[in-house]
Amino acid sequence: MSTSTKTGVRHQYALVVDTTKCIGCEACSVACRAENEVPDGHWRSRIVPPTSGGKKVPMKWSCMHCADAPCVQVCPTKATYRRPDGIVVIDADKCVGCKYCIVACPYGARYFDEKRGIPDKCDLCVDRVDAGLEPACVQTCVGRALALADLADPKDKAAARIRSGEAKPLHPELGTKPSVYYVVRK
Amino acid sequence: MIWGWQIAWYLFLGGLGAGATLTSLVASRSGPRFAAIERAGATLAGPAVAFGTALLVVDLGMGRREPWRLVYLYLNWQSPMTWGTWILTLFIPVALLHALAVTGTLAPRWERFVAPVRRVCAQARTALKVVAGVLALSTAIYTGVLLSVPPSFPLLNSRLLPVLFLVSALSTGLSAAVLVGYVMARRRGVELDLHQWSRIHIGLLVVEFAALLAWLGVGSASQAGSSSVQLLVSGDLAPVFWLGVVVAGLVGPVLAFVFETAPRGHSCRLALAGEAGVLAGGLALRYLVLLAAVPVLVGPAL
Repeated sequence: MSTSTKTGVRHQYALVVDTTKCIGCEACSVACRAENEVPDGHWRSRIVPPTSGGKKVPMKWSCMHCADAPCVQVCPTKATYRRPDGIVVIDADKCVGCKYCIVACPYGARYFDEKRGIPDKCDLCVDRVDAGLEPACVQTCVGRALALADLADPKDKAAARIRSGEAKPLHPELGTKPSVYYVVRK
Repeated sequence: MIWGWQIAWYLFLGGLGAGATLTSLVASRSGPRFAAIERAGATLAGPAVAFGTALLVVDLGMGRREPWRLVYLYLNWQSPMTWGTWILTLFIPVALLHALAVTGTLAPRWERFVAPVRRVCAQARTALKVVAGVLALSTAIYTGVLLSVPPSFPLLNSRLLPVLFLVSALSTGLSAAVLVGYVMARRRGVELDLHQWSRIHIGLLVVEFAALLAWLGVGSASQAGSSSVQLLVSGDLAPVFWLGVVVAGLVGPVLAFVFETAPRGHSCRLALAGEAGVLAGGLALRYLVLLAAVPVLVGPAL
């Protein structure tokens, strides 16, 4: 839980991906590239088709913003850190580009930006979120399959889907406590 | 695995330098008989680890472009890389001072620069040896810990990896010190008797072989881990694994050392060939550990 410096409101962010509404159009991937100027050959967010319960469903895949993030633990410079509101970000001014975070992420969510000499990844469009907007992927999703949840807000509908257990994290057995939750048709 | 040849060489050289220091300490306990090996081990350690560390820095992104950022590396006590940064920062100068303490004087025009430091080092020789030994052990173990902490690659995420790296570090360091020590002694007309070192090395290689088997066995319990093991023993990496690590690095040297130490002795060239094989095998092992890293989440996603 945190206090946003701008609004004085406490937030605890998570992302809910409703795969039953996803048509795999990749609009979120494109919006992400445009918003974050992701270099060619890399991605912050993309649609992948893993098998879920025997069915193939399109899944949005990006940084899981883990509460116990291996990238945060191994970063020797503390350039990668988790904000009190749950968003895992990189301080580009402190990073030395050792790539240990890329090695450590079990979700493969990080890439090395050769031009800038540092790793990068989804930061939930932190500048937009701080300005009270939705992340680019959420805003652009044609089927409203994506939602930015605020677990600190008792009235937040997306957060309710997490609390009820309808939306679940991917690979909780890795023990990293991800903050991206998936709704999958049973 | 995003880490490439620079990191493989660093892991190899870090282990080699650590093992060379420990070999030097063992040699110093055998009296003046093996002074050449004591000196070779001590002299190799600092430059080997420093060169490996330089490769690490070259592999950095912003840290290479703006080197002052390297001070941030000392900050996160939870990160194995921070532990390693401290260990290397201490080990490299201590290894160099240890070398000064145990080696003879240089040519006069160079010696005058180091003479005062050498005097102090020679007086503090025992303390230097203890500190160098502790830091050498830390370096050898740490290179394995660095890879074993993250959960992302099951074969690497194993407590046996630091054990394997430690034994391999001792073994490669011993080889480097014996090879260089032998050559240096020979240049002075002294033919070193390598039997004692060959016997130690047989023991080390047997332990290393057991550690390698245990590491692969435990590693193959998970799905991604068993994909990694398959890559090594029967997949694309198998030629390097069998010829480099097993034949050149383990079985070949053990046979060479056994023949060398047998009664009615063979020439020590066999032992020297064994030592060279150990070095090749140690380097191949570091490469393969990185190349065989199959991520825990296997599939189109990754």
